Amino acid sequence: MAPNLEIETTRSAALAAAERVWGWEIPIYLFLGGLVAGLMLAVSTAVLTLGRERITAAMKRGLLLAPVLLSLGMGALFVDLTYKLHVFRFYTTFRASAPMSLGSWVLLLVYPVQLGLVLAMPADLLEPWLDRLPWLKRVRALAEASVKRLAWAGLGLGVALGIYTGVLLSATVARPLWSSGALGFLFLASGASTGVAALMVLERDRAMQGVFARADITLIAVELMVIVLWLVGLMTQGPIYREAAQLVLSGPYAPIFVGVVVFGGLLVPAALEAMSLRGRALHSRWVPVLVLVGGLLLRFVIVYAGQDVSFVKG
Amino acid sequence: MRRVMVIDMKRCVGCEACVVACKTENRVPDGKYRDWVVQETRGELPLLELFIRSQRCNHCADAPCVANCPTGASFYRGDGTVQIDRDLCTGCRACMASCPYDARYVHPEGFVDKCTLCVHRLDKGKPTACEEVCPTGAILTGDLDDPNSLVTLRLKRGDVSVVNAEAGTKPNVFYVNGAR
Repeated sequence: MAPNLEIETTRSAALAAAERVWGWEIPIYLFLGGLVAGLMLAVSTAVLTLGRERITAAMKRGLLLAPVLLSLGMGALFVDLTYKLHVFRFYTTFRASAPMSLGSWVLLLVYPVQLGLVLAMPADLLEPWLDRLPWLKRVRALAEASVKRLAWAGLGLGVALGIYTGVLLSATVARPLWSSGALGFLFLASGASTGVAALMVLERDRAMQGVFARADITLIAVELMVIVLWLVGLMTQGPIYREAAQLVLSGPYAPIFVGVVVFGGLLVPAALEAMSLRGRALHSRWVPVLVLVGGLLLRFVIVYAGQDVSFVKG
Repeated sequence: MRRVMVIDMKRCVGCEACVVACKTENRVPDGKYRDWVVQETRGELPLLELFIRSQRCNHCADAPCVANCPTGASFYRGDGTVQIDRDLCTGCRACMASCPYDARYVHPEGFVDKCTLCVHRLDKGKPTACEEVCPTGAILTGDLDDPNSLVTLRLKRGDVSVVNAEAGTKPNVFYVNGAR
């Protein structure tokens, strides 16, 4: 680049205001998608390690909540489309090169697996319906017999859904802040952490709260490591990538990213969870709420800041 | 066939006739552009240099807009240009987020739109609208697979650059006489 450079463009009046391609709908969807992935991962892991009978009421509620949250996220995606009548086109094509296409199909697979897991869980609410609806009884028997297979499918789809929300951004090429393979793993770790945090909000069983707290501390540690990898990678790639990383480290997004996401949404809740495990603090539902708020703002910061730096010169 | 565009930065005077011709030919909506003119001033006073270039979709050979389009609405035509099938477009704007040139916009009707390299004209043997109207002959379109085409001969003379090469998308719009 020349030592001094000034650029003017005829389209600046209309475009230089740097209109964002994606607004609030995308971070909301990415957050909800990650959260649902986390819920699936947590419940599937519990089914495989503890067994179907030891699934707590909170986990069942989380499992019931997952399709609702996912539908809300998909609703946000629909609102974002500018050619809404063509939404069906997502399901008339399969494009392996496009993460959005892969994601659309993963979403379609997630629903039946979630439904299968819900049916496979012991639930009093379901019992009166089983006598009235014989087909439901058959489906439930099938789900119960395949509970392990469903849990393995839940694990696979949870990982796919969690990673895809990050790969969606990193595959775009044009936005330096997103140009990192670490984003897929960051969103997966964050999704898993928010999923566990959501279960912690719902959970009343003390012993299980402890299990969730331990899991969340581990996931937060992994997430922090991936954040460091992502930012170190950007800082060492070149000037435009450094500029992008500085947006979240010292630029306009730093107060939210460093202050709210990293400090308030990861370090503080991890410390409080560790203290509650050692009996130095009482378990509070506000601690996992911090993780959830941090996860939501992480998506907002990455989606918004990512669109503020591009290769475009004019 | 590999259709490319070559723009001579010494010939371009920044008159913006290409922008007006494109808007008229392709009925580009108000406030949207398929091409635009960039003026780049380089150096330090008093040694300043002015480079002017007309920019548009670069019809990249490794186009992230095509790779990331979930429905196949963005696609490579047989002539190497990147086109949009409006009927397949959902307006998800993954292509816009993927374009290192910000060359795309949302048409008021909902689909995403951009420069087509006027293939509807090229197919009939006519030049693109911007090429036809350029008063200094700064814009040239042709087949890079043809060893005798004007674009091949001009690119062989050297001093060729592309915009945002660091994005690595193998653009097919080349700029000549703009060496740094």
